[in-house]
Amino acid sequence: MYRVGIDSGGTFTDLVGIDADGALVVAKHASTPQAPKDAFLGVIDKSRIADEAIERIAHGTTVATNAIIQRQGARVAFVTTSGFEDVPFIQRINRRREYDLHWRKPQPLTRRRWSVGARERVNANGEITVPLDAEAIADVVAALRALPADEPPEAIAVCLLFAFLNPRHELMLGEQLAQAFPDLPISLSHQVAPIWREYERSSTVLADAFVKPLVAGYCESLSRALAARSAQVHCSILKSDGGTTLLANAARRPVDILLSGLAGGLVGGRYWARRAGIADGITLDMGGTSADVGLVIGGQQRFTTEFEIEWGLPVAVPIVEVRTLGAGGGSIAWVDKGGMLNVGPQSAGASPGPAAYAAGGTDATVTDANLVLGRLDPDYFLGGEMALDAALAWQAVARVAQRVGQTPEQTAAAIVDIADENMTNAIRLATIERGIDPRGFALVAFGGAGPLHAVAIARKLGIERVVVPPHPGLVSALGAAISELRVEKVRTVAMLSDLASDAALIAQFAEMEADARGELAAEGLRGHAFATWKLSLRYFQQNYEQDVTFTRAGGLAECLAQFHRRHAEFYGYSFPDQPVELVHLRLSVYEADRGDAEGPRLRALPADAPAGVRERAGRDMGGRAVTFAVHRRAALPPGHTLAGPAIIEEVDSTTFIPAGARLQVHESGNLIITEAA
Amino acid sequence: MSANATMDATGPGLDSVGLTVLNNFLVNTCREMGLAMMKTAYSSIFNEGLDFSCIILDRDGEMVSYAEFCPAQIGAILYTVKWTIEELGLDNFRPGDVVMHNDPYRGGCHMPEHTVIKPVFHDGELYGFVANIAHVTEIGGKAVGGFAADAKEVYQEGLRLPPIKIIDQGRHVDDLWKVILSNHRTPVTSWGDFHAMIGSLSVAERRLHEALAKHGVAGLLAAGKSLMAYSEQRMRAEVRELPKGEYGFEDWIENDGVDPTARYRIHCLVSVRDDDIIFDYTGSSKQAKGPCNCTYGVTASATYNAMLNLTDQTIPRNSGCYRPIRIIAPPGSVVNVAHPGPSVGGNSEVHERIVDVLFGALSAAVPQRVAAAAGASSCNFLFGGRHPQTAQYYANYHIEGSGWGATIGGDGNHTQCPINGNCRNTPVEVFETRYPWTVEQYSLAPISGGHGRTRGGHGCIRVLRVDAPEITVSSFMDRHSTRAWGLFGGEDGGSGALRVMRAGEQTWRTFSEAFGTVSPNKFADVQLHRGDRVMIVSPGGGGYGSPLERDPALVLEDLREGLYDVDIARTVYGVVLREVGGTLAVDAQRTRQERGATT
Amino acid sequence: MTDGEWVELPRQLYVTTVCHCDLCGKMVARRFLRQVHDGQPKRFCDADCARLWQEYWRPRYGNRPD
Repeated sequence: MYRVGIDSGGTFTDLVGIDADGALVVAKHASTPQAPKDAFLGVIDKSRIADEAIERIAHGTTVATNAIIQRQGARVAFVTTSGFEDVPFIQRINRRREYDLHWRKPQPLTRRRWSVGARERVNANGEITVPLDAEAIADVVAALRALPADEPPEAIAVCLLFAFLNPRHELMLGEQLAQAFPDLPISLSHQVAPIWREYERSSTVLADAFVKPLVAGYCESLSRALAARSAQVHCSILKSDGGTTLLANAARRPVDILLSGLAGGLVGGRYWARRAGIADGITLDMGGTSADVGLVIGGQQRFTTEFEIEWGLPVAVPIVEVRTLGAGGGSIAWVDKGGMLNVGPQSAGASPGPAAYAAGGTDATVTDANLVLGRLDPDYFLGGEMALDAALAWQAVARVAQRVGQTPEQTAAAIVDIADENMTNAIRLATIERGIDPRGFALVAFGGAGPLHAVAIARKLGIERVVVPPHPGLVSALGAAISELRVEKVRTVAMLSDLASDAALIAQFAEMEADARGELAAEGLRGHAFATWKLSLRYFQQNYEQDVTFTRAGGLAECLAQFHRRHAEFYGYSFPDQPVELVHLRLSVYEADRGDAEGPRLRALPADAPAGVRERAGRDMGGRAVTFAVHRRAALPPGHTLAGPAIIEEVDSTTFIPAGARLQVHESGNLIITEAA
Repeated sequence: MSANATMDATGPGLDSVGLTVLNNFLVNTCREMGLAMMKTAYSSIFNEGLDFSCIILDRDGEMVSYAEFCPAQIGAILYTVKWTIEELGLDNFRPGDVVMHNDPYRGGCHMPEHTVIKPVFHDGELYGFVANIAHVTEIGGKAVGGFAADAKEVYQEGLRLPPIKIIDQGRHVDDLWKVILSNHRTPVTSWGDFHAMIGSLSVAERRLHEALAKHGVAGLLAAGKSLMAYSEQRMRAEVRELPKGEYGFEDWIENDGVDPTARYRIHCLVSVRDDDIIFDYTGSSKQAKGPCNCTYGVTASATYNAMLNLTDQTIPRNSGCYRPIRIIAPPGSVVNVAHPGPSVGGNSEVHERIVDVLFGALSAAVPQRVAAAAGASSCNFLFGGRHPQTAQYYANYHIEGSGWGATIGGDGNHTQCPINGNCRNTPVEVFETRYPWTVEQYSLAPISGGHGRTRGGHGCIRVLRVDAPEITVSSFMDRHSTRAWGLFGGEDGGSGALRVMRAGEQTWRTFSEAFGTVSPNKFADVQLHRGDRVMIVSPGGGGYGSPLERDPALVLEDLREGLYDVDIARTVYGVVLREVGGTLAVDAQRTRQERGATT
Repeated sequence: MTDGEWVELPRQLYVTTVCHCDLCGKMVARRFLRQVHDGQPKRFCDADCARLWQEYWRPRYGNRPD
């Protein structure tokens, strides 16, 4: 029986199947963005895995992501506490950039004319101060019915003030609106995101409602198509937090799958990090237009609730912590008015793509620079599926070189260096912002372009080990295949720590955990599930929290000690005498990890034909001529070592090992790159 | 692997790539400082509002890098740090020192703006300083929250600190801390906020040590100077691109909190010369009795702010940017207060007005780059008291966004932080959790944006109800009788307002009517009681171009979005609408007639 | 007119007021450049301010006593 992961990307839909022995089947199918279901079914057929042999499919999809990015979701009516109808439009009143008169606020996922007030009020203590009466409800219904006839609402989002403390009014409205509008999906803020700060909660519940009809439609079409196949296939969707959820649940709470397409890479990256014996890793999934940076700490993913659709439009649900930056092979090099060279964030994308694609692009991109430096083989890009035109790449880089007064080779090195630096800075912010020093971490690099840049980035960060997983281009699909059932829950309590008792906290955690286990059972959990409990703490009057693990044995006292210690470590001071506020209880319940040592081991991967060692002329970072040894990855057995400068090629990626670095092939199949002793 | 592999390749005497890399590193370091500050500060104005800025300076006091949080502070910090160096002497800094400074006459913005400065050493040699300038809410003085809007002297505005070492080689100087905290109404909050500021310096110092380990003191100093030279050269090129000439403009501050009838002129003559640009504020009013005066630092910040808004966004921000900018600000005027004149409102209200004056002046030179005037009142509203639930004393500095001016290409944003800052609002749910008010309404102010081919943004309305036995409030607002001007035929934005409805009453009145304050919008120390309501209306922004040229489809959309009504669509925009199948549509023919008739 | 001379400001603790440059208005911390024009003493931040005074201010506003 196979566990199957299917990842729908912009260009390809990838499949990885793993059988009970850990044997791997891979397949690729051109994506069908207009009808993603077709590529989904197509890639299953192409893999030749029989329906009867599928234990389950986990699917990473960009349906919700694309709907949001392209703003092609539902017409959402917004219902909120009367007097606050403009909150989604006022937003947080800050600007994206300090000095830009021409910047416009982002358009929220609703319109002002679809925003309706309900006469009701809950206060900061969770007490009802203005009851929501029948008349108020009737007025909301009437207002929704009175919306312009040419723009009937397609979904309703409800966000009432302090509903995260007392959801009674939201529940009443939800019930009555469902009766009045039986055809419209309804999203309630306290269910979608029970968090403090009304704008962030509104924005989140709007996102949920916005993608709901589309995601529900997609899930339904998949269900129908799968039901029509020869055998019943169990299919779930990868959630933004790296867990999975049944098709029906994704349709009900689509906000959970907003980053479904990114999560697979993080899960897969974590898997390979662990297989290489690495507990603390930074994953770098770099493709053509963007790079996604994630964190694995103590073998676990990091989660955050600070995601933005675009600047200023937050979606506050648990997601795998990932920072996406506009840096990829297609990032464009440009020279500013003062003659300084810059790279990105503009990208040539997949079309026209880098100059070397010979598809009409003339801008010099990072891929072009890599070609000029001899790091890419023009005849073995995507395993030779796409020929690159080295002359066009050189010309494009030469044009930039002329403007900065350097040789094309020096300029190519500079482009790569600046791109590396940009990614380095993003990784720094992603780590240091969380109080994490990246230097103790390994860099796990994959995607088509990650392994080319990984060592240089690691050096800039002071990272000592780089890991390049097998089949770097299929890590996302593999991540989906091995993803686990997982539920994340957050409960806001907002109380001073001296008013909290271990017994009460344990009772609350236990209640949350029971709920979560119930949900997992409904998702089809068979084996054991683990739970972790965390408290989000801050000094009273601070507004941002630090998460510390809560154990029954250590209780609150140990949490507090840990909190003071971490505060001192990172900020240089702590206030052990000051009151600490306990803001959230955070719970994760997750299936026994299939990537753990006791889980299935993956067998050796199917090999591409070995081609022996060749040599290629290239350039180092000073633009000087050097010779690279070029290896085919499949020809390198576990335990094999070699020294840079060298290039390792495989069908879906290229790894660059600069001078001074040393490669060892790990028994897991990972390439491990360190500094030569 | 060694972290220096790439940096070393570019070594001391960095090439342009090395400089790009270093500049990114330094900006990033400043951002990290800001994040540390946001995550650890106690006051809403920091952790929600982000009213602070983080800077790296070399040992000459020149700014090498900063993270953009609050433009109002950037000019001033150049002068506060330079002053500190000159007053204390470079030889008197030791590792682990932290200097604090808020003196408006020694380079500061206004008294609430506190700068903390920490020297950074490498191998015993001073490289420079990391600094954080931040708006501290409660600093003593006659009014809670640091805005004594009727102050006539600096001594009423709070505790004034010349540059003093509050931490000496790593040790808190307890005597000074006692003095400072004894003069603040909320010492615990000040303690937490000051440590958040100082903590951010530690974060930056750590990161600078990494750069110093790679480049050495001499290398990093040289690289910083190269970056400044680069930015200077870029800014001079920008100046050369401006059409040469002299451009004058003026706007007004409507009263100073002391004399309700006085108006204060902000005037600037901008001379664009070969490769520098002079901003001459001669002709601005003599300094006010009340605190609507700017320090030199505020006027400089505002001038730099306007220039950075009108020039290339990609120029690295450092002292070099400012070298082509010459400022003439006569002492003893509203744009350069002389001791002991009060100044708290200059930074918060006059800064925006100065920026608008410069946009107005340069609208004749670069109409495609400027914006019409913004509503541009921070609507500073201060309050404090004892919280009925915690019995703790609290103080808060509350601000509002206002409508922004339209530009040639787009409508002004609704309700956005004025240009002197880039603060976030405090969420209603945070506000009510911290302070004993109920927010009854927070919405856009109807029809407050000025009409035009592109529209000014709307201001907002907030209604607050007192939920405690007593709250003491102060206010420093402007543009309640003046309006944000439109450009090139665009109309003015709507004025703001501040009203109060006492418990049991049914009418909104001004504070002058209800409490006899001298000024209706600049006053201090008024006691409100349970059930009293306050309504703050922020001003809207000016329009750009004639409303008769606005695309009728956009007028229809504005109308549907409730930004104005059918009457305005017809009388101001000349757009005639009719109902088609239950929805509104533009009557193209009658619109043409209407617009033809009106012009 | 001469190139002027640098003048140190007094540093007594009880001096808490500030003096300003006669061209740009900026406050002077430690020392200023003193020049005499038509018998009137002028205080400047530095030679740059003195130059701008000559080339911009004086032709426009004359040598006003403030």
